[in-house]
Amino acid sequence: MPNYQRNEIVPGLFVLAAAAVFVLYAFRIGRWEALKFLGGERLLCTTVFDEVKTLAVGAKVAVAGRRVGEVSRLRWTEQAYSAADVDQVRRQLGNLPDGVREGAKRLVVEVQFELSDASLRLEPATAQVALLQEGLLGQHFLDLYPGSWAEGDQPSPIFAAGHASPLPIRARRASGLDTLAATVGEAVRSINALTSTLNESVLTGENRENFTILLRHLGNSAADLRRLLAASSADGLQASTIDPLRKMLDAATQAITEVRQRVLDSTLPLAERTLDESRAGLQEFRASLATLRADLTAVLDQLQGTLGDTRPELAESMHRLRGTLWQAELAMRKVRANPSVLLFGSDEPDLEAREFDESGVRATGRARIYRQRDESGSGR
Amino acid sequence: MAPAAERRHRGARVGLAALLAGLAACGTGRGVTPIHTPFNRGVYHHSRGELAAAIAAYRDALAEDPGDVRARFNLAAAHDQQGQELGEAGDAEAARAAFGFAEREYRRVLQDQPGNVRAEVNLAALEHERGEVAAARTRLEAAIAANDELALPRTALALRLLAAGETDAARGQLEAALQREPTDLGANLLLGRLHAEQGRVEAARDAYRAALRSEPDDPGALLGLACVEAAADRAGEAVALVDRVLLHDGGNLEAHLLAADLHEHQGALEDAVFHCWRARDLDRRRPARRDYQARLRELYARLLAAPPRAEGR
Repeated sequence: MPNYQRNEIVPGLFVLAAAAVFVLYAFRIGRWEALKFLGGERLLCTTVFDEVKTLAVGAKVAVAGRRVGEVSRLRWTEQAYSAADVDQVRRQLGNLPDGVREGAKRLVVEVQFELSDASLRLEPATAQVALLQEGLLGQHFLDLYPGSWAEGDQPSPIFAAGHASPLPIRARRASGLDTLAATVGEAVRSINALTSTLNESVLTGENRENFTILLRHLGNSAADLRRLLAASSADGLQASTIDPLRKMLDAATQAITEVRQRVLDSTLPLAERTLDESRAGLQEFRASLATLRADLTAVLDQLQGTLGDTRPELAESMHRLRGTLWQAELAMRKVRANPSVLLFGSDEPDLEAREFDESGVRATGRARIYRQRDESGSGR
Repeated sequence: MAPAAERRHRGARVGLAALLAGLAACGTGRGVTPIHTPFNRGVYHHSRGELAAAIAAYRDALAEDPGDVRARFNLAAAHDQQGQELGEAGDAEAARAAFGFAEREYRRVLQDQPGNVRAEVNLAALEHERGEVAAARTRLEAAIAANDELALPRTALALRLLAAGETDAARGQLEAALQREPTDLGANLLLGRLHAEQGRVEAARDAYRAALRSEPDDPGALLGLACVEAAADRAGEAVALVDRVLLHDGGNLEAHLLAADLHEHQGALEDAVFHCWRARDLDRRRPARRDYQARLRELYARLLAAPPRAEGR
């Protein structure tokens, strides 16, 4: 066995320890499953989304903005349409596509995520998870709402609560821009529904029949009136004029009462309800638009202020950028002419002429001098 | 060999050939940077006001190619400028010698390239400054006749006519120059100055704006327009134009002087003091030209007597 000295062994051990740290760190970065035990205890949860956008394995799971875990797996799964799902599709698309009905299967994404924050408390019955995006262009992540509970009925921390694993958590509908888009869509659909409802309510078969009856009665009345005028005589006035007239008025009154009753009982309440719904939708839409407009105005104001404040700096930056581009072109020329400058560098100074101030030349009535020229062909 | 593999091999061969050709092209590169010729080095020093170095570099260029008209003209112009600076510094003897060198080189330019309009114009300027006014005018008129389409000799003649007080003739020459070259900077600037001196504000403004259309950042045009705006009681516009000059060239003496005047006129005494200090620092070569100390003393006295400025200005 070789006879190692102490001053050889100690540095060797340091090197090995450092290498081990690097290896472990590399496995950590690479999310090697076998090293999961290093991350401590985790609670596996699942949820299901119709669409996960840019959500990826490793994306954070946050509660109130604080990271409490990460997405560990995404996979396709089948799920049956519930009544609420069918209703949502109807509201989104205006009508139901073929095959969409309660109980029909569809493909969705099952998202598995792990919670690692031991201090987190969760109420599975009311907990929800939503898909949010970091800024406008950032990646999507999961925003976990841990649920609510009554005072004194606080759930235990997740690792002590004995939750099932995996723990299913309800997915919450999107928010932010998605909500705005959905609100706009719903408002438009409500207006559509209102017009079609009004159409259907006013021009129902019954109403059309009533109108027909009314018109027939009016026609009869007109005929009676014509007859009355034709046979008008003093003797038979009661028999030929008053009675038919009364009969005609009775019939007209009855028809009007029937129509009025139908309109008051069915059509008007329905129209009123539809208008209320549309009004609520439009108010929500208007509020969202106002918020959006305020945000945009603030951003634009800030941008304008920033641009105004930094105009001299921008001009200076542009000047420097032009200088940098010239230096880059000069460097390219040097490398093209002599690639060895890449290895040995170049001590050649930049000899670009400055901008000439020609006011003096002009004031004395002289011609300006000839400027620098590209003399690539003339050699050094 | 399978067709796909054959195509791949052919592609690799073409790539290798291109790489070798590129390396060969690099190896046979002509010159390191095209700017490093004696002529370009001379222009570099000339642009920085290093006239002795510029003259040496132009001489190197002429040693390589004695027929290089541009190098010879620039050499003459460098001597010419040296003469002007020596004259301003009070060394009349040295100035005369420098002007002599310049004239000799201008004449050599005309020998190598008869009718070179720049050399004719500068020779005329030397003659005019020596007091040979008629000779200068004759030379410029001959240059105009030989180069009717150029604005430069007409502009130079207009300047001489203005010096002689013949403003109408000068204006005629400038308008003729601008008919031939409507974007000529020198002609537009001189016309702007002429209009401004004669109180034609709109015409002066138009001329300076025409100059700025061809050279948007030209300090002469910007400062000329600023003077016009200041004379028309539009101090805000004038200050903005001067700021534009200083944004491009923070060391522009004339701009600092004008800015000091404008700010003083507007009552912004701190700004006036700042620009006066900058002008004094920049004008160290000719401190006797303007009495900065007296002006600064007066500005400080007014500043101390003035009430404090409101916040937010």
